[in-house]
Amino acid sequence: MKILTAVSDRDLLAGIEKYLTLAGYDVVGAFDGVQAATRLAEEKIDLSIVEEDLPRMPRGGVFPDEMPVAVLTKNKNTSGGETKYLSFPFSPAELSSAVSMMINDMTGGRGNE
Amino acid sequence: MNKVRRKFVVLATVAVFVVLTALLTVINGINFTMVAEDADRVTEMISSGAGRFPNVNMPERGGFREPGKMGPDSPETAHSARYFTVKISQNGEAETVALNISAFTEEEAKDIAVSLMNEKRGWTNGIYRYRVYKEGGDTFVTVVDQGRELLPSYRILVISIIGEIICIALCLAFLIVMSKKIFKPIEEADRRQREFLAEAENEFKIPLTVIGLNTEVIEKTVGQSDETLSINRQVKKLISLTKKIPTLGITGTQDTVCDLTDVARDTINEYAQKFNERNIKLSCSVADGVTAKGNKEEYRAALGEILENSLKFAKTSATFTLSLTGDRTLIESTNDADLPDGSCDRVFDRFTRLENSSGVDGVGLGLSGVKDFARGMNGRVSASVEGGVFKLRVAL
Repeated sequence: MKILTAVSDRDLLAGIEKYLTLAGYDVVGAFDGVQAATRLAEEKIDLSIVEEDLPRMPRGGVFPDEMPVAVLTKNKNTSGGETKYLSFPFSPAELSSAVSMMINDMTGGRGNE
Repeated sequence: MNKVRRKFVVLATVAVFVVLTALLTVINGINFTMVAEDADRVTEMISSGAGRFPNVNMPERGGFREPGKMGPDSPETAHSARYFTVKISQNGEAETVALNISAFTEEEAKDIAVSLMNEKRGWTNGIYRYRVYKEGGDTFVTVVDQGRELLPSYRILVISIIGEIICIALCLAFLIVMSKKIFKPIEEADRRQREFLAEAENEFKIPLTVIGLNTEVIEKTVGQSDETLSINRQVKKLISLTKKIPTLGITGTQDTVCDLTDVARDTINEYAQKFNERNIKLSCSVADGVTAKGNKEEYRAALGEILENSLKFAKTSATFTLSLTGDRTLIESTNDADLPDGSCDRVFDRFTRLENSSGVDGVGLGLSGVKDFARGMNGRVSASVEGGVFKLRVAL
Protein backbone atom coordinates (compact mmCIF):
# COMPACT_ATOMS: atom_id res chain seq x y z
CA MET A 1 0.00 0.00 0.00
CA LYS A 2 1.70 3.21 -1.13
CA ILE A 3 0.71 6.46 0.46
CA LEU A 4 1.51 9.93 -0.83
CA THR A 5 1.89 12.51 1.92
CA ALA A 6 1.79 16.08 0.68
CA VAL A 7 2.29 18.75 3.34
CA SER A 8 4.26 22.01 3.21
CA ASP A 9 5.80 21.80 6.68
CA ARG A 10 9.01 19.75 6.35
CA ASP A 11 8.98 18.58 9.98
CA LEU A 12 5.39 17.47 9.71
CA LEU A 13 6.11 15.71 6.44
CA ALA A 14 9.06 13.88 8.00
CA GLY A 15 7.01 12.99 11.12
CA ILE A 16 4.13 11.53 9.09
CA GLU A 17 6.48 9.68 6.76
CA LYS A 18 8.44 8.07 9.63
CA TYR A 19 5.32 7.24 11.62
CA LEU A 20 3.50 5.62 8.71
CA THR A 21 6.64 3.81 7.59
CA LEU A 22 6.98 2.34 11.08
CA ALA A 23 3.33 1.35 10.85
CA GLY A 24 4.20 -0.72 7.78
CA TYR A 25 3.20 1.52 4.91
CA ASP A 26 5.21 2.52 1.89
CA VAL A 27 5.27 6.31 2.04
CA VAL A 28 6.37 8.94 -0.44
CA GLY A 29 6.44 12.63 0.44
CA ALA A 30 5.81 15.91 -1.35
CA PHE A 31 5.97 19.42 0.05
CA ASP A 32 3.97 21.22 -2.62
CA GLY A 33 1.42 20.60 -5.34
CA VAL A 34 3.95 20.41 -8.16
CA GLN A 35 6.00 17.77 -6.35
CA ALA A 36 2.81 15.87 -5.49
CA ALA A 37 1.85 15.83 -9.18
CA THR A 38 5.31 14.52 -10.09
CA ARG A 39 5.09 11.73 -7.49
CA LEU A 40 1.64 10.77 -8.72
CA ALA A 41 2.91 10.62 -12.30
CA GLU A 42 6.03 8.61 -11.41
CA GLU A 43 4.68 6.15 -8.88
CA LYS A 44 1.61 4.05 -8.34
CA ILE A 45 -0.03 5.73 -5.36
CA ASP A 46 -2.94 4.03 -3.59
CA LEU A 47 -4.05 6.83 -1.33
CA SER A 48 -2.99 10.33 -0.38
CA ILE A 49 -2.79 12.46 2.69
CA VAL A 50 -2.74 16.09 1.66
CA GLU A 51 -2.66 19.36 3.50
CA GLU A 52 -5.52 21.71 2.76
CA ASP A 53 -4.34 24.76 0.78
CA LEU A 54 -1.11 23.03 -0.23
CA PRO A 55 1.10 25.61 -1.99
CA ARG A 56 1.79 25.46 -5.74
CA MET A 57 -1.17 23.21 -6.39
CA PRO A 58 -1.78 22.97 -10.19
CA ARG A 59 -5.12 24.30 -11.40
CA GLY A 60 -7.75 21.57 -11.46
CA GLY A 61 -5.97 19.56 -8.76
CA VAL A 62 -3.61 16.64 -9.11
CA PHE A 63 -5.43 13.76 -7.45
CA PRO A 64 -7.47 11.35 -9.55
CA ASP A 65 -11.17 11.29 -8.58
CA GLU A 66 -11.06 7.61 -7.67
CA MET A 67 -8.11 8.00 -5.30
CA PRO A 68 -8.96 8.12 -1.58
CA VAL A 69 -7.61 11.37 -0.14
CA ALA A 70 -7.43 12.44 3.50
CA VAL A 71 -7.27 16.20 3.88
CA LEU A 72 -5.34 17.67 6.81
CA THR A 73 -7.07 20.86 7.84
CA LYS A 74 -6.88 23.57 10.47
CA ASN A 75 -10.66 23.86 10.48
CA LYS A 76 -12.61 22.24 13.27
CA ASN A 77 -15.93 21.52 11.60
CA THR A 78 -15.22 19.27 8.68
CA SER A 79 -18.00 16.70 8.88
CA GLY A 80 -20.08 15.85 5.83
CA GLY A 81 -19.19 14.85 2.29
CA GLU A 82 -17.13 11.95 1.06
CA THR A 83 -13.74 13.54 1.75
CA LYS A 84 -11.98 12.30 4.85
CA TYR A 85 -10.80 15.24 6.94
CA LEU A 86 -8.29 15.15 9.76
CA SER A 87 -8.19 18.31 11.85
CA PHE A 88 -4.96 19.62 13.32
CA PRO A 89 -3.72 18.90 15.94
CA PHE A 90 -4.33 15.19 15.48
CA SER A 91 -2.74 12.38 17.43
CA PRO A 92 -0.72 9.54 15.81
CA ALA A 93 -3.59 7.21 16.70
CA GLU A 94 -6.07 9.43 14.82
CA LEU A 95 -3.78 9.41 11.78
CA SER A 96 -3.48 5.65 11.95
CA SER A 97 -7.22 5.25 12.30
CA ALA A 98 -7.90 7.55 9.33
CA VAL A 99 -5.49 5.62 7.12
CA SER A 100 -6.96 2.28 8.22
CA MET A 101 -10.48 3.50 7.48
CA MET A 102 -9.50 4.62 4.00
CA ILE A 103 -7.82 1.29 3.32
CA ASN A 104 -10.88 -0.56 4.57
CA ASP A 105 -13.09 1.54 2.30
CA MET A 106 -10.80 0.73 -0.63
CA THR A 107 -10.48 -2.97 0.01
CA GLY A 108 -13.97 -3.56 1.31
CA GLY A 109 -12.72 -4.43 4.79
CA ARG A 110 -9.90 -6.79 3.67
CA GLY A 111 -7.25 -4.50 5.24
CA ASN A 112 -3.74 -3.65 4.11
CA GLU A 113 -3.03 -6.01 1.27
CA MET B 1 -23.96 49.03 15.22
CA ASN B 2 -22.73 46.21 17.44
CA LYS B 3 -24.46 44.96 20.55
CA VAL B 4 -22.32 46.73 23.17
CA ARG B 5 -22.41 50.04 21.33
CA ARG B 6 -26.18 49.83 20.90
CA LYS B 7 -26.57 49.04 24.59
CA PHE B 8 -24.39 52.04 25.51
CA VAL B 9 -26.41 54.41 23.30
CA VAL B 10 -29.74 53.15 24.67
CA LEU B 11 -28.60 53.29 28.30
CA ALA B 12 -27.09 56.76 27.95
CA THR B 13 -30.25 58.05 26.24
CA VAL B 14 -32.46 56.52 28.92
CA ALA B 15 -30.25 58.12 31.59
CA VAL B 16 -30.59 61.55 29.95
CA PHE B 17 -34.36 61.03 29.64
CA VAL B 18 -34.69 60.09 33.33
CA VAL B 19 -32.59 63.03 34.56
CA LEU B 20 -34.33 65.57 32.31
CA THR B 21 -37.79 64.25 33.16
CA ALA B 22 -37.03 64.38 36.88
CA LEU B 23 -35.67 67.93 36.61
CA LEU B 24 -38.57 69.25 34.51
CA THR B 25 -41.13 67.48 36.71
CA VAL B 26 -39.72 69.21 39.79
CA ILE B 27 -39.58 72.64 38.06
CA ASN B 28 -43.13 72.40 36.69
CA GLY B 29 -44.42 70.89 39.93
CA ILE B 30 -43.04 73.83 41.93
CA ASN B 31 -44.45 76.26 39.37
CA PHE B 32 -48.00 74.83 39.57
CA THR B 33 -47.80 74.59 43.38
CA MET B 34 -46.88 78.31 43.55
CA VAL B 35 -49.84 79.21 41.33
CA ALA B 36 -52.12 77.23 43.69
CA GLU B 37 -50.59 78.97 46.72
CA ASP B 38 -51.15 82.38 45.11
CA ALA B 39 -54.77 81.44 44.44
CA ASP B 40 -55.19 80.31 48.04
CA ARG B 41 -53.75 83.64 49.20
CA VAL B 42 -56.40 85.44 47.10
CA THR B 43 -59.29 83.30 48.44
CA GLU B 44 -57.93 83.84 51.95
CA MET B 45 -58.04 87.62 51.46
CA ILE B 46 -61.60 87.36 50.17
CA SER B 47 -62.61 85.17 53.09
CA SER B 48 -61.19 87.73 55.51
CA GLY B 49 -63.56 90.29 53.95
CA ALA B 50 -66.63 88.05 54.36
CA GLY B 51 -66.76 87.17 50.67
CA ARG B 52 -65.36 90.36 49.18
CA PHE B 53 -61.93 91.91 48.95
CA PRO B 54 -61.30 93.98 52.05
CA ASN B 55 -60.38 97.64 51.58
CA VAL B 56 -56.89 97.80 50.19
CA ASN B 57 -54.39 100.58 50.35
CA MET B 58 -54.44 102.00 46.89
CA PRO B 59 -51.23 103.64 45.68
CA GLU B 60 -51.24 107.31 44.89
CA ARG B 61 -52.67 107.79 41.45
CA GLY B 62 -50.08 108.49 38.81
CA GLY B 63 -47.38 106.61 40.73
CA PHE B 64 -45.89 103.19 40.22
CA ARG B 65 -46.38 100.59 42.94
CA GLU B 66 -43.40 99.39 44.93
CA PRO B 67 -41.16 96.96 43.11
CA GLY B 68 -41.62 93.41 44.32
CA LYS B 69 -45.31 93.79 45.11
CA MET B 70 -46.52 91.33 42.54
CA GLY B 71 -48.98 88.45 42.50
CA PRO B 72 -51.68 88.28 45.19
CA ASP B 73 -49.94 90.94 47.33
CA SER B 74 -50.27 93.51 44.56
CA PRO B 75 -52.81 96.29 45.28
CA GLU B 76 -54.18 95.58 41.78
CA THR B 77 -55.32 92.09 42.78
CA ALA B 78 -58.64 93.39 44.14
CA HIS B 79 -59.37 94.91 40.73
CA SER B 80 -58.03 92.15 38.53
CA ALA B 81 -59.32 89.07 40.37
CA ARG B 82 -62.22 87.29 38.68
CA TYR B 83 -64.27 85.62 41.38
CA PHE B 84 -67.60 85.06 42.95
CA THR B 85 -68.68 84.35 46.53
CA VAL B 86 -71.92 82.65 47.50
CA LYS B 87 -73.26 82.54 51.06
CA ILE B 88 -75.28 79.48 51.96
CA SER B 89 -77.33 79.94 55.11
CA GLN B 90 -78.03 77.22 57.65
CA ASN B 91 -81.42 76.55 56.08
CA GLY B 92 -79.70 75.95 52.70
CA GLU B 93 -80.61 79.24 51.08
CA ALA B 94 -77.94 80.44 48.66
CA GLU B 95 -77.22 84.15 48.18
CA THR B 96 -74.61 85.71 45.94
CA VAL B 97 -72.28 87.94 47.95
CA ALA B 98 -69.99 88.95 45.08
CA LEU B 99 -70.03 88.21 41.34
CA ASN B 100 -66.92 89.75 39.82
CA ILE B 101 -66.72 87.29 36.96
CA SER B 102 -68.36 87.21 33.54
CA ALA B 103 -68.28 83.44 32.97
CA PHE B 104 -71.22 82.66 35.30
CA THR B 105 -74.68 84.00 36.02
CA GLU B 106 -75.83 84.33 39.62
CA GLU B 107 -77.81 81.07 39.36
CA GLU B 108 -74.85 79.19 37.90
CA ALA B 109 -72.59 80.57 40.66
CA LYS B 110 -75.08 79.39 43.30
CA ASP B 111 -75.26 75.89 41.76
CA ILE B 112 -71.46 75.62 41.72
CA ALA B 113 -71.26 76.86 45.34
CA VAL B 114 -73.85 74.33 46.54
CA SER B 115 -71.96 71.50 44.81
CA LEU B 116 -68.75 72.55 46.56
CA MET B 117 -70.10 73.45 50.02
CA ASN B 118 -68.97 70.17 51.62
CA GLU B 119 -65.40 70.53 50.39
CA LYS B 120 -62.61 72.70 51.86
CA ARG B 121 -60.46 73.97 49.02
CA GLY B 122 -59.09 72.82 45.71
CA TRP B 123 -59.41 73.09 41.94
CA THR B 124 -62.64 72.75 39.96
CA ASN B 125 -62.93 72.64 36.18
CA GLY B 126 -59.15 72.83 35.83
CA ILE B 127 -58.65 76.58 36.29
CA TYR B 128 -61.00 77.60 39.16
CA ARG B 129 -59.60 77.62 42.71
CA TYR B 130 -62.21 77.48 45.48
CA ARG B 131 -62.28 77.90 49.23
CA VAL B 132 -65.15 76.96 51.57
CA TYR B 133 -65.31 78.68 54.99
CA LYS B 134 -67.78 79.30 57.81
CA GLU B 135 -68.74 82.59 59.32
CA GLY B 136 -71.56 83.22 61.77
CA GLY B 137 -73.12 79.82 61.09
CA ASP B 138 -73.25 80.45 57.34
CA THR B 139 -71.13 78.70 54.74
CA PHE B 140 -69.23 80.84 52.24
CA VAL B 141 -67.90 79.47 48.94
CA THR B 142 -65.43 81.63 47.05
CA VAL B 143 -64.36 80.58 43.55
CA VAL B 144 -61.48 82.38 41.80
CA ASP B 145 -60.68 82.11 38.09
CA GLN B 146 -56.91 81.40 37.86
CA GLY B 147 -56.85 80.81 34.09
CA ARG B 148 -54.71 83.88 33.39
CA GLU B 149 -52.22 82.92 36.10
CA LEU B 150 -52.12 79.27 34.97
CA LEU B 151 -51.55 80.06 31.29
CA PRO B 152 -47.79 80.83 31.63
CA SER B 153 -47.37 77.65 33.70
CA TYR B 154 -49.00 75.54 31.01
CA ARG B 155 -46.85 77.24 28.39
CA ILE B 156 -43.73 76.41 30.40
CA LEU B 157 -44.94 72.79 30.71
CA VAL B 158 -45.46 72.46 26.94
CA ILE B 159 -42.12 74.14 26.22
CA SER B 160 -40.47 71.77 28.73
CA ILE B 161 -41.92 68.69 27.01
CA ILE B 162 -40.96 69.91 23.51
CA GLY B 163 -37.52 70.92 24.81
CA GLU B 164 -37.03 67.52 26.40
CA ILE B 165 -37.98 65.68 23.20
CA ILE B 166 -35.58 67.85 21.15
CA CYS B 167 -32.85 67.43 23.76
CA ILE B 168 -33.22 63.61 23.77
CA ALA B 169 -33.25 63.46 19.99
CA LEU B 170 -30.07 65.59 19.83
CA CYS B 171 -28.50 63.53 22.58
CA LEU B 172 -29.35 60.29 20.73
CA ALA B 173 -27.91 61.62 17.48
CA PHE B 174 -24.78 62.83 19.29
CA LEU B 175 -24.34 59.49 21.05
CA ILE B 176 -24.79 57.50 17.84
CA VAL B 177 -22.12 59.60 16.13
CA MET B 178 -19.75 59.82 19.08
CA SER B 179 -20.13 56.20 20.19
CA LYS B 180 -18.56 55.19 16.88
CA LYS B 181 -15.43 57.09 17.88
CA ILE B 182 -15.57 55.99 21.52
CA PHE B 183 -16.00 52.31 20.65
CA LYS B 184 -13.59 52.21 17.74
CA PRO B 185 -10.52 51.41 19.90
CA ILE B 186 -12.53 48.88 21.93
CA GLU B 187 -13.87 47.15 18.82
CA GLU B 188 -10.38 47.21 17.35
CA ALA B 189 -8.90 45.63 20.50
CA ASP B 190 -11.67 43.00 20.49
CA ARG B 191 -11.03 42.23 16.81
CA ARG B 192 -7.29 41.97 17.41
CA GLN B 193 -7.86 39.67 20.38
CA ARG B 194 -10.09 37.39 18.32
CA GLU B 195 -7.59 37.37 15.49
CA PHE B 196 -4.78 36.59 17.91
CA LEU B 197 -6.75 33.71 19.43
CA ALA B 198 -7.53 32.30 16.00
CA GLU B 199 -3.92 32.66 14.86
CA ALA B 200 -2.54 31.28 18.12
CA GLU B 201 -4.85 28.30 17.81
CA ASN B 202 -3.68 27.64 14.24
CA GLU B 203 0.00 28.23 14.93
CA PHE B 204 0.01 25.70 17.77
CA LYS B 205 -1.65 22.99 15.75
CA ILE B 206 1.10 21.80 13.46
CA PRO B 207 3.95 21.91 16.03
CA LEU B 208 1.84 19.88 18.45
CA THR B 209 1.07 17.32 15.75
CA VAL B 210 4.75 17.07 14.87
CA ILE B 211 5.81 16.63 18.53
CA GLY B 212 3.15 13.94 18.98
CA LEU B 213 4.21 12.06 15.83
CA ASN B 214 7.94 12.28 16.62
CA THR B 215 7.41 11.10 20.19
CA GLU B 216 5.47 8.14 18.86
CA VAL B 217 8.30 7.42 16.38
CA ILE B 218 10.87 7.58 19.23
CA GLU B 219 8.77 5.20 21.31
CA LYS B 220 8.50 2.78 18.44
CA THR B 221 12.21 2.89 17.53
CA VAL B 222 13.97 3.43 20.88
CA GLY B 223 11.26 2.31 23.24
CA GLN B 224 8.84 3.92 25.66
CA SER B 225 10.35 5.84 28.58
CA ASP B 226 9.16 8.10 31.39
CA GLU B 227 10.27 11.02 29.26
CA THR B 228 8.26 10.03 26.18
CA LEU B 229 5.22 9.33 28.37
CA SER B 230 5.62 12.74 29.96
CA ILE B 231 5.93 14.40 26.54
CA ASN B 232 2.77 12.63 25.41
CA ARG B 233 0.86 13.77 28.50
CA GLN B 234 1.95 17.37 28.03
CA VAL B 235 1.16 17.27 24.31
CA LYS B 236 -2.33 15.97 25.10
CA LYS B 237 -2.78 18.81 27.56
CA LEU B 238 -1.65 21.39 25.03
CA ILE B 239 -3.88 19.88 22.34
CA SER B 240 -6.79 20.10 24.75
CA LEU B 241 -5.90 23.73 25.50
CA THR B 242 -5.64 24.52 21.81
CA LYS B 243 -9.06 23.04 21.18
CA LYS B 244 -10.47 25.22 23.95
CA ILE B 245 -9.08 28.47 22.57
CA PRO B 246 -12.08 29.12 20.28
CA THR B 247 -14.44 28.79 23.25
CA LEU B 248 -12.58 31.64 24.97
CA GLY B 249 -14.02 33.86 22.30
CA ILE B 250 -17.60 32.73 22.95
CA THR B 251 -19.48 35.86 23.86
CA GLY B 252 -23.10 35.04 23.19
CA THR B 253 -24.16 37.17 20.26
CA GLN B 254 -27.92 37.45 19.96
CA ASP B 255 -28.40 38.64 16.41
CA THR B 256 -29.80 35.49 14.79
CA VAL B 257 -32.34 32.83 15.74
CA CYS B 258 -31.21 29.22 15.67
CA ASP B 259 -32.95 25.88 16.09
CA LEU B 260 -31.60 24.80 19.46
CA THR B 261 -33.38 21.44 19.26
CA ASP B 262 -31.46 20.57 16.09
CA VAL B 263 -28.16 21.79 17.51
CA ALA B 264 -28.68 19.77 20.71
CA ARG B 265 -29.58 16.57 18.79
CA ASP B 266 -26.56 16.97 16.47
CA THR B 267 -24.24 17.52 19.42
CA ILE B 268 -25.67 14.52 21.29
CA ASN B 269 -25.20 12.34 18.19
CA GLU B 270 -21.62 13.54 17.97
CA TYR B 271 -20.96 12.46 21.57
CA ALA B 272 -23.11 9.32 21.78
CA GLN B 273 -20.35 7.03 20.47
CA LYS B 274 -17.81 8.48 22.91
CA PHE B 275 -20.16 7.80 25.85
CA ASN B 276 -20.64 4.22 24.58
CA GLU B 277 -16.89 3.71 24.34
CA ARG B 278 -16.54 4.70 27.99
CA ASN B 279 -19.52 2.52 29.00
CA ILE B 280 -21.39 5.52 30.33
CA LYS B 281 -25.16 5.48 29.95
CA LEU B 282 -26.24 8.82 28.49
CA SER B 283 -29.96 9.62 28.85
CA CYS B 284 -31.16 12.60 26.86
CA SER B 285 -34.38 14.55 26.69
CA VAL B 286 -34.61 17.26 24.05
CA ALA B 287 -37.83 19.24 23.71
CA ASP B 288 -39.13 19.81 20.18
CA GLY B 289 -39.13 23.22 18.55
CA VAL B 290 -36.83 25.04 20.95
CA THR B 291 -35.40 28.08 19.23
CA ALA B 292 -33.16 30.74 20.67
CA LYS B 293 -31.45 33.90 19.60
CA GLY B 294 -27.75 33.46 19.09
CA ASN B 295 -25.01 32.01 16.97
CA LYS B 296 -25.47 28.32 16.07
CA GLU B 297 -21.76 27.52 16.29
CA GLU B 298 -21.49 29.14 19.72
CA TYR B 299 -24.45 27.04 20.93
CA ARG B 300 -22.82 23.95 19.44
CA ALA B 301 -19.54 24.73 21.23
CA ALA B 302 -21.29 25.41 24.55
CA LEU B 303 -23.43 22.24 24.41
CA GLY B 304 -20.34 20.29 23.36
CA GLU B 305 -18.46 21.53 26.42
CA ILE B 306 -21.32 20.47 28.70
CA LEU B 307 -21.39 16.94 27.22
CA GLU B 308 -17.59 16.79 27.22
CA ASN B 309 -17.62 17.55 30.94
CA SER B 310 -20.06 14.68 31.59
CA LEU B 311 -18.03 12.38 29.38
CA LYS B 312 -14.89 13.12 31.37
CA PHE B 313 -16.25 12.89 34.88
CA ALA B 314 -19.25 10.53 34.83
CA LYS B 315 -18.63 7.14 36.43
CA THR B 316 -21.52 5.17 35.00
CA SER B 317 -24.34 7.47 33.91
CA ALA B 318 -25.13 10.97 32.72
CA THR B 319 -28.20 12.91 31.60
CA PHE B 320 -28.74 15.83 29.27
CA THR B 321 -31.98 17.80 29.12
CA LEU B 322 -33.07 20.67 26.90
CA SER B 323 -36.43 22.14 27.86
CA LEU B 324 -38.52 25.29 27.83
CA THR B 325 -39.81 26.66 31.13
CA GLY B 326 -41.91 29.75 30.63
CA ASP B 327 -39.83 32.06 28.49
CA ARG B 328 -36.58 30.46 29.63
CA THR B 329 -34.60 27.78 27.85
CA LEU B 330 -33.13 25.33 30.31
CA ILE B 331 -30.12 23.14 29.67
CA GLU B 332 -29.46 20.66 32.44
CA SER B 333 -26.77 18.07 32.67
CA THR B 334 -26.11 15.57 35.44
CA ASN B 335 -23.53 12.87 36.02
CA ASP B 336 -22.46 10.61 38.85
CA ALA B 337 -19.09 12.28 39.36
CA ASP B 338 -17.37 11.46 42.60
CA LEU B 339 -17.67 14.83 44.35
CA PRO B 340 -18.74 15.96 47.84
CA ASP B 341 -22.24 17.48 48.12
CA GLY B 342 -22.69 21.25 47.94
CA SER B 343 -22.43 24.12 45.54
CA CYS B 344 -19.50 23.95 43.15
CA ASP B 345 -19.82 27.11 41.06
CA ARG B 346 -16.03 27.29 41.01
CA VAL B 347 -16.12 24.79 38.12
CA PHE B 348 -16.90 27.86 36.04
CA ASP B 349 -13.63 29.57 36.99
CA ARG B 350 -11.00 29.59 34.28
CA PHE B 351 -8.19 27.01 34.67
CA THR B 352 -9.91 25.53 37.74
CA ARG B 353 -9.98 21.77 38.06
CA LEU B 354 -11.84 20.00 40.86
CA GLU B 355 -10.47 17.29 43.13
CA ASN B 356 -11.91 14.51 40.93
CA SER B 357 -10.04 15.72 37.83
CA SER B 358 -6.77 14.00 38.64
CA GLY B 359 -5.86 11.75 35.73
CA VAL B 360 -8.51 13.32 33.52
CA ASP B 361 -7.38 15.22 30.43
CA GLY B 362 -8.22 18.88 30.41
CA VAL B 363 -7.07 22.32 31.40
CA GLY B 364 -10.11 23.72 33.18
CA LEU B 365 -11.43 25.94 30.43
CA GLY B 366 -14.52 24.17 29.09
CA LEU B 367 -17.18 25.24 31.58
CA SER B 368 -15.74 28.75 31.92
CA GLY B 369 -16.52 29.11 28.22
CA VAL B 370 -20.09 27.93 28.92
CA LYS B 371 -20.41 30.57 31.66
CA ASP B 372 -19.12 33.34 29.36
CA PHE B 373 -21.55 32.21 26.68
CA ALA B 374 -24.53 32.16 29.10
CA ARG B 375 -23.64 35.59 30.44
CA GLY B 376 -23.40 36.93 26.92
CA MET B 377 -26.94 35.66 26.35
CA ASN B 378 -28.15 37.29 29.61
CA GLY B 379 -28.46 33.81 31.09
CA ARG B 380 -27.33 32.16 34.31
CA VAL B 381 -25.28 29.10 35.14
CA SER B 382 -25.08 27.10 38.35
CA ALA B 383 -23.47 23.86 39.46
CA SER B 384 -24.03 21.73 42.53
CA VAL B 385 -23.63 18.22 43.83
CA GLU B 386 -26.57 16.49 45.52
CA GLY B 387 -26.31 12.91 46.71
CA GLY B 388 -23.09 12.48 44.76
CA VAL B 389 -24.74 13.64 41.51
CA PHE B 390 -23.14 16.61 39.82
CA LYS B 391 -25.79 18.91 38.37
CA LEU B 392 -25.10 21.66 35.87
CA ARG B 393 -27.86 24.10 34.99
CA VAL B 394 -27.84 26.77 32.29
CA ALA B 395 -30.88 29.05 32.08
CA LEU B 396 -31.04 31.22 28.96
